[in-house]
Amino acid sequence: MKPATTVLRLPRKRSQVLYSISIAAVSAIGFAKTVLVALTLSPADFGIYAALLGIALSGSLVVPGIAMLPTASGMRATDSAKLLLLFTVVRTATALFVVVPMAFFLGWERALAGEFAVQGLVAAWGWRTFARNCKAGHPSLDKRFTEAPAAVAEGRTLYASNLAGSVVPFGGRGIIALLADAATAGYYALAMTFVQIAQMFTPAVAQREGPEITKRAYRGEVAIARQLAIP
Amino acid sequence: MAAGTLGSFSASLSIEVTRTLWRSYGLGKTAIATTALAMVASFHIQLAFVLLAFDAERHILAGSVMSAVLGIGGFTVAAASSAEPADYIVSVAVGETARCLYLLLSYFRLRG
Repeated sequence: MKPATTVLRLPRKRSQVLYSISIAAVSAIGFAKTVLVALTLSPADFGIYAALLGIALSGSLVVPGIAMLPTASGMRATDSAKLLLLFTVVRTATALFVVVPMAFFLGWERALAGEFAVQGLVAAWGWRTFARNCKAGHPSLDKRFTEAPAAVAEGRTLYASNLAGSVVPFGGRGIIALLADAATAGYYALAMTFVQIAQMFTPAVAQREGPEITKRAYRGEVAIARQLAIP
Repeated sequence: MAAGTLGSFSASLSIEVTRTLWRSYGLGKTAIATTALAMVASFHIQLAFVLLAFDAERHILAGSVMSAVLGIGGFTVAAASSAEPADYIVSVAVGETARCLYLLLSYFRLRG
């Protein structure tokens, strides 16, 4: 027999509101950057730029977990909304102010190099900030830390799922450039910018709120369907 | 969330500059409609988090594989038939919608 569940409204903390604002701001800045680069470059050049950027971003799927710490996911784990807001806005705003002028004046090759340089510098800064804010001696930072076997098995399935699910978002532009031509990849990349806004915003919020609601659902304090209505 | 995202997208189409941008890139009504569909289907990400509560990682994996196969398969068919850019977007929309529906169906089946 299933336990009775009650729909509860979760407490709305200030940090949660700040978090939502940061994700919305980052989505808007990232979108503005992509559209401005698309307007600056020809469809063919934008197609090559987007295809190579997608291939480079796919590297984030195969790097060791420790390298992911200076990313937005790592910052979310610090539970500091202000730090996350600062990191994400600096990362996307710097890319906007560096990449767009480079695309306009210097072409797609240098714009792409600028994108990599910005992401590298911000990642280094993020790593420094994360290390400074992370509590020394935390078990998750201990190299001898071993995960539970069940967690490892589930993690492998989810990793395979992420790999399969990333083929089209990261590799789609490159595949179309190979199958058709760079200009078609450019048209496709522009349309996909809109889809990726939804794909970027949804997991960020779900990653933040999901575990809390899952725990509450397990304890029978909240209906699992509540998660489908966040925020 | 999905409704809000779609609403923002729809509202953006009321701006002349946005419509001009789409037109300048040769993307017509089919591309706009299928892009909107793919945006709504991004709801599958939220569903995946819910399914984790049911230990349904295999369903999440099956959904991802389904989306990748339909997407790449669609690209291949579109390229072979010298298709318009919109046809590539249709491939993604079909894959993402199938994934979303599969995860939704899995949720209802697991919930019982």
